[in-house]
Amino acid sequence: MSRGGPIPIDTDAPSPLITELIYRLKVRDVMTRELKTCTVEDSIRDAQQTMKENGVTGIPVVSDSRLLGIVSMDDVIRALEDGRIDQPVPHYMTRSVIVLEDDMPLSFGISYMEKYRYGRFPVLDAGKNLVGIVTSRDIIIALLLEINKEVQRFEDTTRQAETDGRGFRLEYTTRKFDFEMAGRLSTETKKLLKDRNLPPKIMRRVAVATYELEMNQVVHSVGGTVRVTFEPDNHEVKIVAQDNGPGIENVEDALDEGFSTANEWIRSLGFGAGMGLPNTRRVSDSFDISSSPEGTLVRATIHIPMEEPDAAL
Amino acid sequence: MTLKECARRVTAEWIVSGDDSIEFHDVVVSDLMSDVLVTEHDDFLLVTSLASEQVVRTADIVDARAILLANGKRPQPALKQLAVSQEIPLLTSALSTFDICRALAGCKEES
Repeated sequence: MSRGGPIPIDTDAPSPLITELIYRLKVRDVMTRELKTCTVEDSIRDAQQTMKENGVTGIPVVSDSRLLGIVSMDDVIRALEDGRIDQPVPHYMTRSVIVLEDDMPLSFGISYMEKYRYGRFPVLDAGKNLVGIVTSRDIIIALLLEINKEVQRFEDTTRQAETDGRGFRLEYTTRKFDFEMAGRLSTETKKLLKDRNLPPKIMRRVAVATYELEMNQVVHSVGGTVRVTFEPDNHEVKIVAQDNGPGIENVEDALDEGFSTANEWIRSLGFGAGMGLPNTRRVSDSFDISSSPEGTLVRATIHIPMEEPDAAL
Repeated sequence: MTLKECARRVTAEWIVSGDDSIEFHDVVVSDLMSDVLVTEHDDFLLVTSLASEQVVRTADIVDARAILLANGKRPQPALKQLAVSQEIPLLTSALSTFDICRALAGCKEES
């Protein structure tokens, strides 16, 4: 990436995921349904008391489920200034209320917040009945919950697992600089091997190799996959790491201990000492690597000694 | 040396508790997890001033028995959470890495 180029993030349009989300969610999905209301018989003081008790700064004025207006803190203050706080609500309520409909997409709610600058919008159903109220807090909470679900869904797609008797195949997708995700494959692999009673030394070698390869992709590549396959019948664990570039300029150099192209920031995270590939090779029984600008492929195999009673089934 | 004795010598605070009777026979001191991954030791105490969750990942892979953070490092929440789920005791000491090494020197001979 060139240093002088534009920042490769479109700051004008939100991500497609967020756009899809705010159209998919309806106003009814985010609104508060438990309404605190007042009637035309109530005084401004009554309305203010209801707001205070419920910690809100505005309440709808209703007759049955028909919306007649809204009393907000501003209206209460105006009544106070006039010394008429005990007057009935209709004297001070706001009558021209901007409302949302419950089947509008959430995007409407967000643009209304932006356009009208009110703290809350009453929500009506198709029969013009008041069914809820939306504040910016409701929108933020609903969005956070949905984004959380989306992220969870996304993370789930980065892991694939298959088991076949004692054997298993486990694959994780790595992303550039996603240090939090790196190591999940090795942790899970080690656990699976432990459940299968493999010798501790073998487990450790497999875990070291997968971890180094995961970390290598996170630090140096644009992302890729690391796959571990345990084949009990062949008495071996195979690890295949394949990334999508930019490739290693000089593979021989990269296999030298201490050779590293990592920057200071990566080193401050405890990695980038130039030990990744040499260390993977050290713990593997067979190791080969090929690299081009399109990507790097590493295959490492660790044999499980036959004489180990557990490993021989 | 037991973890309890170690904690006493470096006046450590327990962040993730665990079996304090754990015996370790070696100490690996490094801020570079790549170096820790190369060690051949088993059952050791990992002393580091790196406080990211990769410390727990690394400790788990190389079978470290416990983690001691130096220089009064506070763990990031993700580190603490991972240590809990991996059941690795996590301690922190206000001492510098050098002073921790001095305090624990001799643990090999004693064990």
